[in-house]
Amino acid sequence: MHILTARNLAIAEDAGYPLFVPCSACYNRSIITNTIMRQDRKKREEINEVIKPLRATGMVQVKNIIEVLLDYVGIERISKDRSYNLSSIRVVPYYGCVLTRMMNIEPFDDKEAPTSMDALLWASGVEPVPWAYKMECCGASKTLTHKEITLQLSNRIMDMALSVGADAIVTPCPLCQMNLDLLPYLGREKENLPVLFLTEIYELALSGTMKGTRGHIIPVDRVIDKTRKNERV
Amino acid sequence: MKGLEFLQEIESVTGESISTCFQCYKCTVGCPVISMMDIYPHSIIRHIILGNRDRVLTSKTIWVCLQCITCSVRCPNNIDIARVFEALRKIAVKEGKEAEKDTWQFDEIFMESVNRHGRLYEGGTIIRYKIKRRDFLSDFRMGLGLFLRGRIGVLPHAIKGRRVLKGLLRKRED
Ligand code: SF4
Ligand code: SF4
Repeated sequence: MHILTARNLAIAEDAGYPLFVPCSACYNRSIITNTIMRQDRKKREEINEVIKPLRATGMVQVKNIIEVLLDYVGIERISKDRSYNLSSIRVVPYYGCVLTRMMNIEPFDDKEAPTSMDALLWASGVEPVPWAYKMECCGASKTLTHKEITLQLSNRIMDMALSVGADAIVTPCPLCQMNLDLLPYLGREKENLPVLFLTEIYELALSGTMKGTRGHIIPVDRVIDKTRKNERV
Repeated sequence: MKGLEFLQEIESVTGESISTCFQCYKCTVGCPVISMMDIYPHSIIRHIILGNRDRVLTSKTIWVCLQCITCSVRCPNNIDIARVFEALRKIAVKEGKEAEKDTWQFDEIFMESVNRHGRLYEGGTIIRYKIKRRDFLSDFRMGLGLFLRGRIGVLPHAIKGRRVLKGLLRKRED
């Protein structure tokens, strides 16, 4: 069960770098495996036996995109370096379901009410709006097997974001981004808000535009239009 | 009340203390998909304790579950309910009792793709799943839209050391 993750961890460990895991579910799994490798000697030997000649000890640091920005760039630098003013953009921080939900492991942020991305968003200049669906599930991989489940769950998240008056949803999880962005194809006929990956906010703050606009299914123009050049950096 | 065999079986494969459940309903109350379940999560746990094996293994609930871990994190008795459901799925499939086939089929095709390419080849996985289900048109527009926006590729990207990985996964199966 832990073999694929253990293999990745072992490669990172060997290279001597922390492991950055962009997807929340992969991150969650990697953290679990890493903890087991560190704490459970019997399982560690079993797993290492399978991934031989690679070897993981569970000592590598596993980071998600929020941690990378917080730990390696830092709030201070983010708030200083921005050249565009995003203060008229209201966003809802959407963490997704499994970024911090872990059993018997202390996550990097609160299990049910995380705030780390809120801080990052404040620093970028946008206004994060408090809302109740920070960690609601988007439907995950049910998009392919049970479309109606993803539609129902993602619909609810989109409706809630609209009802608090947000201009966009920002998420650190690529799968959440995908599912919410797919809403027009899943059968939602109502209004949609742009769904941005966290790093796209920084792209906006630094360059005033977004390279990946074409990749978005729900148009992101309303966010770009609200971006203003900083008069005084 | 039937015997304790089923409870003991599930407790031993999952390592969870299911019998500590005191039916507080917290798992059910926080679950985002109860509207699509035939048996609520707390009831599944209760049925396990009561030994109602088939009732649990044939339920739709274990397949509807999104594995979002909300229930597990909230359980006051620290029961990893999501993990229990995952174990139930495996037993249900082994005994041919699964209430639906889609999720498991998809999981298998997913792992096959990882096995073959060393990572997930999204396009291929989706197409194989569709062929297996003999359903080509329902998501055609979605697939085309994603492709045109560069969100899914036509060709697989393989990883370095793919052969080694194949060996690893074979070992996992034994
Ligand atoms: S939350 Fe835990 S204790 Fe409460 S009903 Fe569910 S399984 Fe039982
Ligand atoms: S893990 Fe499954 S049962 Fe538990 S809250 Fe999520 S969807 Fe419901």
